[in-house]
Amino acid sequence: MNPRKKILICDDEEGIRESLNLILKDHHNLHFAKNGPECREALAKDPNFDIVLMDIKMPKQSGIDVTRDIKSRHPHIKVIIVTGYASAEIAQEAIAAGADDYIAKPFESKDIIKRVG
Amino acid sequence: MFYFNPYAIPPLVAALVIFFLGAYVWSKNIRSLTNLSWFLVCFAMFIWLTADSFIYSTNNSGLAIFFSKIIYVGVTLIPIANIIFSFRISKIRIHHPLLLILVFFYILAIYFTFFSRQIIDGLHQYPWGFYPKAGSWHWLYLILWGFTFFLAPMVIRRRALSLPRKSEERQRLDYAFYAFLAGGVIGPFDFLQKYGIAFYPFGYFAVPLIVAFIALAIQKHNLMEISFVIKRGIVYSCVIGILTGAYLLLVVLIELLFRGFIGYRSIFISLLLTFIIAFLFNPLRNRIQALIDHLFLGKTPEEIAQENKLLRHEVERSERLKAASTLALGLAHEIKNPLTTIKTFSEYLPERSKDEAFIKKFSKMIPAEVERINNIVHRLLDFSKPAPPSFQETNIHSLIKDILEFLSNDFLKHHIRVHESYEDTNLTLRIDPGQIKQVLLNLLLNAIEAMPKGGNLTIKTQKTPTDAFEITITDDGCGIPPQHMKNLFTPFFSTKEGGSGLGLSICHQIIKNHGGTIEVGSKEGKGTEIRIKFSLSKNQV
Repeated sequence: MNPRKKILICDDEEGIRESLNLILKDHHNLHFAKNGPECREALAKDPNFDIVLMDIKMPKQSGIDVTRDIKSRHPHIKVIIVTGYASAEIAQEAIAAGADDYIAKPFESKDIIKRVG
Repeated sequence: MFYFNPYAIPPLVAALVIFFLGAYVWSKNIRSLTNLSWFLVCFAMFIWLTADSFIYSTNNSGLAIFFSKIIYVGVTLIPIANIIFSFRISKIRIHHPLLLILVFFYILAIYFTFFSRQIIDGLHQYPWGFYPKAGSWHWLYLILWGFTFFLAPMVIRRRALSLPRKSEERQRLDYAFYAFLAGGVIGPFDFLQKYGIAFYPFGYFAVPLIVAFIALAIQKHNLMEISFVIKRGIVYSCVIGILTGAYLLLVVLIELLFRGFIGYRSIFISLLLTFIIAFLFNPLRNRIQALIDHLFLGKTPEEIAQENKLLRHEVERSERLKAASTLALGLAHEIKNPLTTIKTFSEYLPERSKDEAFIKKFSKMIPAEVERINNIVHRLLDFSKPAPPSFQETNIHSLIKDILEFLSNDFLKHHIRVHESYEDTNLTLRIDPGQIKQVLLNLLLNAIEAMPKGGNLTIKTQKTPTDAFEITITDDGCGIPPQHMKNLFTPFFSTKEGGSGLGLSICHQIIKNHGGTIEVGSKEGKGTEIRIKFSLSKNQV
């Protein structure tokens, strides 16, 4: 088993946060943010996260913008985009913004566990 | 000084038809150099034909000399205008040195026409009236004229041959080529009489032919980007042109016959003959008109009317379905979130069935997510069914937010920032929510399309001092060219490839049915602002 990682889950949907919680809570330390500003706040307080799981479509700020911001301030944090808007253009844009990986919703729990590592 | 000469009528009619066609095409896009150059072609022919008509109508030789010179102004301008037009449609720069040289020679030609006797030297008197007589340098003029005149179709042909055979542009150019070829073959016969060869100058028969070919190019291949509704006008003006030509041919032939057999010479008989032929010609004209309808439009006018009606219904339906499919795309994404939750929770259900906290969450979340999917599907169904207008109390702001939510994926994809500013968010209006959604969706989709590189979209609501509720949608996209502004709400007017041209006209109709107004303000390159106003006294609950 891999060592526990510190993961920040950023999604405005309770269902998604709960789902990821269900899948990952036994293996990792999880923290949650409901939107971009909350996510940044959490990282400003404690930049020692290994991974951020990032939604794209959120009310206050797009996940792509938040990703860009995270990558410029904390390049060591791995950002995985988790989104329902699975299209080549969005994937490309996410990668351009610095995202490390891309998972489409609805996701497989095995897939999430594997990608998070 | 002037007398009634039946021979003078056809050139005058042809002059008016060609002038009307040219002015019409130009008025559709005043800024287009192509349309302007076509107008020049028409205007040159108009000068020639009008002066032709006048020279036949006068018995004063001084006036006839004057009209001869005017004829030559028109005749001289025609090939120059043809060249400019052919350069334009063949995408060659107009500032071509060859053109400048030609213009120089033509200025010389006009100078010598007016101020010497080298090009026109007096008059011939023919049975159909006065006619200019060639001067000693006229042959030089002919060489110049012939060279220029045949240059236009050659330029067009060269460009056409470089294009694929089936391409729209190739076919457009082919028609223009035939138009100029027809003009080039028939037109020059009118020079022979200047050398004393006495047969009737039928050169203006080329005019309806040119009109017909250019009208076909406009009609079938969108030459000069003239839209559907206008095309029909052109087809009918072309009908008049062709009929005039055919009618005149009859009059001339029969008159010649009479003259040959009876040897009469009386205006009264000419006039009588004209009327008799006109009377006999009527059924033939109907036949020709039907033939032309068939040729140009493939149908009789009744069939076309019927087809337009069906087409309109069909296009309205497809516009609605297009909107619905855009929504479906947005909704498909929206459904993925609740689906993910349901999928994950049901996956973990067997191993966690003893976990009380899990079961509690499960029973709270799963029904809520299923309900959410149900709502989404209902929203889509509401939109796609062709419901008759049903006015109901609707919170206009929830409706706006609903649409913005639908389109959030598109905003994201196109880097569009949405700014919202609302007044009186609890306001309920008596409107048809489905139809108003369709209007907003249509306008927002246009705004998205206007900002292919991203931009800002502002949606604002406010009550105006004039007792109206106003929704303003502003984008900072490409804007609308001024020449398209007045056609925005015209059915079938479209500048988009594959656009039905009905989107905005349906919006307009819907808002009108609500007793409201829709206004568009736009600056090319700056953006567009659309204001929809509902009267509060009529629409407020």
